[in-house]
Amino acid sequence: MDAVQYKCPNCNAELKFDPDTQRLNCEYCMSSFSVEEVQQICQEAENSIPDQEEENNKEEFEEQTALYHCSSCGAEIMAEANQTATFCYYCHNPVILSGKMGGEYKPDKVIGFKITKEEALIKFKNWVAKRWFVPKEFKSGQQIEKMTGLYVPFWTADCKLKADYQGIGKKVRSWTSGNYRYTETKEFSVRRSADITVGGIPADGESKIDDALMEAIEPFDYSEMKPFSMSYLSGFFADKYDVDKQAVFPRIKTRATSAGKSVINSSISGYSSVSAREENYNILKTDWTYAMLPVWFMTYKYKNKIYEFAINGQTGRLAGTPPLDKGKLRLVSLAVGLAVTAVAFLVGGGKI
Amino acid sequence: MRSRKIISSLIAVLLSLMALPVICLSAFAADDTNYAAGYDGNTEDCIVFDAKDILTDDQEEKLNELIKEYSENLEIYIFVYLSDTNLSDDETKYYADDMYEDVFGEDTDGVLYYMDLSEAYDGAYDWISTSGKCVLNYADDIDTIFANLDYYLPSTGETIYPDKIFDAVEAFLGYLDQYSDYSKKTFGYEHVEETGKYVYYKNGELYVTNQKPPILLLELFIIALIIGLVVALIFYLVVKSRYKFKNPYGSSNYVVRDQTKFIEKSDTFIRTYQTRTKIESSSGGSRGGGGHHGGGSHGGGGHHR
Repeated sequence: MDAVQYKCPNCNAELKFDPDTQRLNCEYCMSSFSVEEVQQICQEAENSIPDQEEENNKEEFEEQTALYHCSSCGAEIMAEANQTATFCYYCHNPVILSGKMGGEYKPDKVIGFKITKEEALIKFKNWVAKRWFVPKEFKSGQQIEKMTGLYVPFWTADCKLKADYQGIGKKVRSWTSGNYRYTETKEFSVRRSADITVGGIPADGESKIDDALMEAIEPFDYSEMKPFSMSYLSGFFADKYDVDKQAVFPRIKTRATSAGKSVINSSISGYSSVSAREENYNILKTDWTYAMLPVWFMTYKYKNKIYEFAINGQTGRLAGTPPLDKGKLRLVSLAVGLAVTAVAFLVGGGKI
Repeated sequence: MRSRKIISSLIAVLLSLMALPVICLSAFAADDTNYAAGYDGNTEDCIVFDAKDILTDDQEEKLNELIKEYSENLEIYIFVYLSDTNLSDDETKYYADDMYEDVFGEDTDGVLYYMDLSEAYDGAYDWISTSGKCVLNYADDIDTIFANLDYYLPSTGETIYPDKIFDAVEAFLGYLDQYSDYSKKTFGYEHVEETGKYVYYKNGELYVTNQKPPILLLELFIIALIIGLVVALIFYLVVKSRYKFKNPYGSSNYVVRDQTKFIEKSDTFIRTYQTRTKIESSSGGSRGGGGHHGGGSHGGGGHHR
């Protein structure tokens, strides 16, 4: 399979997408092009996403092999089944496997990286610095450098829900008179019915990525979403989805229902307690968008356990569970306890 | 290598724990003078003083003999004062404590029984003042002694009979013997708030001193240790929770507010009902405390008749 690379029209070096400027830059002759300009200049590359007929013809072959030819050095490299953008292991130039993005795998939208690798590293270092009990090997420069920019395939769903709610609300009032305590309870029938729209609920379409990790780096600013262009992928890794929209729908449904419940619950107020008798949240319609969203990834292995971290490549929001040096924490906790014991003993002794 | 680190850390923690009470104890190295003056066996002043002049000479003589006998047996000074003067409750306490010290000195082992026979309209108020080892021995029995003496003594407004007073004093001496509790020798202590002193036994010897008893220090240390351990545990759990996943972005943030509309929004009144519960009232008792103007430390208690 041929891979696609975006070449500088001036010096023929590889163009890379720069999150800072949102443009494709040539590191050799310092030329800079907007995505639209590259789309015009590199029409052949842009149009290299095969149509459905070509895709059908090549489908069987591509499913059996994952080889690509690097157009810079001619190397033949194996790629993972879902990878759509990567780097040549020999000449380290970015390559885009456009053949894998045909048909149903062609993304609708993309949000380009806005956080550079350096900025991501700074955010990560600051985040780690606040955690005193991470192992010191974790903070080493060598470990932190293993950070990868990846376009993660996401499904975003716009849902229309019909919410119906019936419950009993109680208002309770108490007072004392003489030797008795009186309690008055008023009961109300609470009914709500609403048409609710939730927009842009994301669910990552990659099975090997932790769903909770991706939820933790939300939200993405969809106002910066652009029509998909492969030029955004240059210089980063990218994967196509292996979890289709039917498979992610249960997650979407759960989150949409939760959103609907919050709308209903926020409309009920003034009661001491409310109990629901019947509530239904039906999704009437779902509009899907397949988008490539930017994420910086880092993994760390500590005591045979893998720790994953992710930084939203657009907003910089960070998520992950750092390793915890439990021995150090236990010692510090004990020291704190002993100090409190001493103070409590001295203070208590002074009062008696 | 790792196990050596763990062992050395454990040893460091254990040494700190062992050093802690020593360090803290040294902070409590208060004045350790023992003010206990004991009992020298001189029963000359162990008498009943009948200021009311209600007893006959015979009765008075008999009671004096009894008092001396009990004094020798129990090895404590005993003084019974039959008062004809109306005093307030506080004045009664101070009077009894001061009188004891005037007769027997500060912090000696003894008891003074102040019996109010003034027939005042606002009620009789008796007082038992204890000193030395009696502070400790009779600390929990004063109320019981008074309750038993009520059998003999008249209530306010009733006629006072000399025979009854005689019987009351005789019974009082018997209760002193009955309730002389020496089991407190090991762990018991009393704290006299007015003077700030503690009364307790250490190595079989009575102490009336500013220094806290060992058992109290141990109690303090255990309580402080529990507080410290709880704080350590809370610290550990709070820090550990920071190393877990943060809450994800709320789904409610994806609601498109201007495309959301309510078709029905009603709150309809159904009914109202009322319940009531009776409030249980409780009454508590009261107990007197000790205090006087002298330098000795006293215990004891008072009783209204």
